[in-house]
Amino acid sequence: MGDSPSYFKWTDVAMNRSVCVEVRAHASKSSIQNQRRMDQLFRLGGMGGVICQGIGVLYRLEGDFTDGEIEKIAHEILSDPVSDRFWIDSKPQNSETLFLDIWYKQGVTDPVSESLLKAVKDLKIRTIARAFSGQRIELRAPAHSNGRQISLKEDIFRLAGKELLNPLVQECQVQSWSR
Amino acid sequence: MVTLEKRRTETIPLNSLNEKELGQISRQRLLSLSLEEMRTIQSYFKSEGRDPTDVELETIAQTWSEHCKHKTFKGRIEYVELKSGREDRKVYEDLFRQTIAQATQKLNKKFCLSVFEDNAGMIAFDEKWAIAFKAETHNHPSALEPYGGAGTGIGGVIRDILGAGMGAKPILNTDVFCVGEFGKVPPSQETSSNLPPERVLSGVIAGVRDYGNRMGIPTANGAVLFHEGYFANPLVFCGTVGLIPRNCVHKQVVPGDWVVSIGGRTGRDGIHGATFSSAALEDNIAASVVQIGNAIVEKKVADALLRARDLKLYNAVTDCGAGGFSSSVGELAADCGVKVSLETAPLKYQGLSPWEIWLSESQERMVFSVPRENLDSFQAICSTENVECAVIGEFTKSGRLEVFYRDEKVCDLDLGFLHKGIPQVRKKAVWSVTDSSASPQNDLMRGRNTLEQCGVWLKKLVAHPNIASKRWIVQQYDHEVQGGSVIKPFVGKGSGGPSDAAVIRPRLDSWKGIVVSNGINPFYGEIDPYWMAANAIDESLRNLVAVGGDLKECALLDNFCWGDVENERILAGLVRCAQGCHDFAISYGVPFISGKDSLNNTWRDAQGQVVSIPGTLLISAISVVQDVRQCVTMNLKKPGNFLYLVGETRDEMGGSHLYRILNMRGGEVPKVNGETSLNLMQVLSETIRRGWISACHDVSEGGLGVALAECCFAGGLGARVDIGHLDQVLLFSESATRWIIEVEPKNAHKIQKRFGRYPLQLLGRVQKEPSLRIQNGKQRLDLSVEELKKLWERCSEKQ
Repeated sequence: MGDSPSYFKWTDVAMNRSVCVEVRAHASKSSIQNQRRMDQLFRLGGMGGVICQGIGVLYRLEGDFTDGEIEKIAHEILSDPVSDRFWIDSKPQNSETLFLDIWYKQGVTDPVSESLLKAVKDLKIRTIARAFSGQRIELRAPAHSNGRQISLKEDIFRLAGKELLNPLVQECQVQSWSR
Repeated sequence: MVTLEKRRTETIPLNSLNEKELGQISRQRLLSLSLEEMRTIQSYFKSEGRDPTDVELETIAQTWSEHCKHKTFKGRIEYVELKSGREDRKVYEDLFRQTIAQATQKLNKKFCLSVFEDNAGMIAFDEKWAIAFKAETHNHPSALEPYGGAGTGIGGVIRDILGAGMGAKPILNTDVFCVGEFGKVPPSQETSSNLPPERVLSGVIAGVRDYGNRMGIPTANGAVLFHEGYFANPLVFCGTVGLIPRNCVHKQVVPGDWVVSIGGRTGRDGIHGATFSSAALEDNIAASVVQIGNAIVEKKVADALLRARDLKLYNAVTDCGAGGFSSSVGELAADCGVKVSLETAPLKYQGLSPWEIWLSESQERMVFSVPRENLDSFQAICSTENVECAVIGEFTKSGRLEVFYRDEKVCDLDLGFLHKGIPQVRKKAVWSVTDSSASPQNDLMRGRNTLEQCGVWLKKLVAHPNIASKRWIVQQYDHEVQGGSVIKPFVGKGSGGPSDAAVIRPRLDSWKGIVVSNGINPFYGEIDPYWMAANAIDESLRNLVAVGGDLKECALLDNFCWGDVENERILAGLVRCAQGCHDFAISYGVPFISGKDSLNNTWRDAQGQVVSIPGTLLISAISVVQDVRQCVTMNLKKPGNFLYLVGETRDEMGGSHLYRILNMRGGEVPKVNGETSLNLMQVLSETIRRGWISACHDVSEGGLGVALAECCFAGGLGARVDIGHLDQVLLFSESATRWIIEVEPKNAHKIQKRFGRYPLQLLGRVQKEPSLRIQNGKQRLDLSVEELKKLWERCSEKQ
């Protein structure tokens, strides 16, 4: 994601921290079907070795909050304790894992984040200044040399732009493992 | 609220420009104004002795856009028809007034309470309540961003209903989508950057679903059409029905009232939406024209509005749609005057120019005329509903549109010039009548094909995307919310068959209901748009009658989506279509109450050529039914019952789906005999009301064969029919004004007597065994109902 847009700054809270919360449903028939569809998409896009490991909803929160407040928001607003799991600021765990994160571009209305800010206020938490919503697709790609890794990222970008997002209003970034 | 840094308003040196430079200004600023319009604007400002500001120029461009002013429909059109060396001419001084509006005027129905003057048409429901109905399109935004485009499309038409009269409560949504064929890229589009139809359709479905479901409005009627001509320019029609007290049907702005804006904040979203919607789709479209809606905010706006309405806290309301404040405030002030202070509008972020605040099409905003003494109460309601509310100006008696930004006057326009100063468009339309006698249909007729062959075609037809089940779409919509749904999108055993129309009960303390249906068929329009109009009206009404609707209290909406109206042939098609609307509205005695046109649905192909969509007319019909318990569904009910075909089947295969699967073009398009059709509909309505008919299904795409198959698998029963003298190929004719009806033996005599001289053919009987047996003389065809249903549902299961 590029520079943080300023249009969801409702309060005068300082923006000292920024975290990403990923929420993913426990494995179900439909989530597995969605993963299989994603695998097929990568296969058809000439990346047969790339496997989808999961699809989650992403929230990026900015402000001057505590870890406890983020835990509370993730527990009480962002996830369903029965059907979902969540992670805060998770990173790819190994060299074979990639995160493809899709966000709205600057200037595009993000109604989910607007509702999220309202809900946070209802929880009486006043330390969140801005929020953004997005999607994360976790991919597993066989480990390669650095050169191959770069070209794989480019291939994923190209496929995402064509099949997974609308470049007019969305953009993506690929995160890989780093020591 | 975020504070706004002061931005200068620009003055455009218009008065000194020559014609070439005027054209350049229009293009550079995306004004979509013609040279004649630019000259008229130049003359106005010369008479004012000054140059316009950017706010003024943008305001005029928005108000005079095709989207807002319907310049072609209100233009002077010289229509020329060439036939066998003869040339007939007719001049329409105002196409809309002389066709659509004239039909309504001639019919002069008392139940029509508000027509063509508000955000929606309104008809009487009962002594206390009225029904508002409107359908809109959101095509270009949906082509670029299907989810956001369709979401804001349905959000916009819901606001039309909220802004109709003093505000109606939305009670039903409809949606009709026209997209390219899946998996097929037209050769001219191979290198284009357009989203493929699969992504467009899934996006628009999700957009309508999320908005309608989140607002708690049932989506219970619609259609989806696949045609290669929509590949780069899909059509997204969204409609909403509302319920409003009859004493709230009219509104009146009072000078001295505050101009109050409530709902969403203003950002750059949708800037130039009104002018963009009137231009061709090309690459390099700015992201700013794309909007993403927020249904939750609109739900809160709706709740606040209805509470304030019932307390009579305001004198008028309208929605902020295309053109934003410029359009909504300008329209409300058209008969008085207004002063607006732009710096008081709540903004999403800083940095907007005054003209951007004024023209922004940010969603979920409504504008009210609030008496000063009611402001506190109005604001209190907004506060309890958690809706942002701001006073942005006051209505005056000046006859001028005065807009200020801080202390600077950035716009000062005479409202008479703004709303009536536009020069009338003059265009020529030429239609050449082609001979359809060289139709390929004759080769199919006269027994050249066996019933067995017809069985193969029938299986292909039920699986055709235009005919096959749309369950995968419909099931995403909530059609039960509000608790008034009576006839739902799927009916019969296991909800296994497609219903002809939606029936809902808006007041749960009454059995009175409303029926909503639609008719659309661009394939006929490719042959003759006049008969497309006739068939679209007929289809919407026969669907409506099929469930128990009545033409006595029935009204129509017209939604035209057309291509390049600078092309004389394409414009002639539009004229013929509008004339067809006039003629058949009169024939059926059913008035139009509202509508909309979306023109210039075009794009450039790889060679740079302008390509138009197939001229498309959606007719939406609505009727009041006295008792929903008398309504019927299309699924077969009981073995042993008789099956009849109502209406006449003719050699009319042009535009049929059989031709589509056989890759054949041309042929006779179905014709409609208005008088016979009206009589048939009246008799059918009456017999349904009397309870003599157990099931009724209209015969449309795919003809009698498909309709029979649908009745069988919807009922989980079979049928044994003999098509008698009909050529078996006519199983697939799509002749208009036909239905299959199921009648209990005890009612058969009464039905035959009541239909009398009107065409009614006994086909056979319902049977318990789930097979469809079709006989024609010595030939016999047996089809498994289960297999037909599987084929019909296959398309849905693949999604």
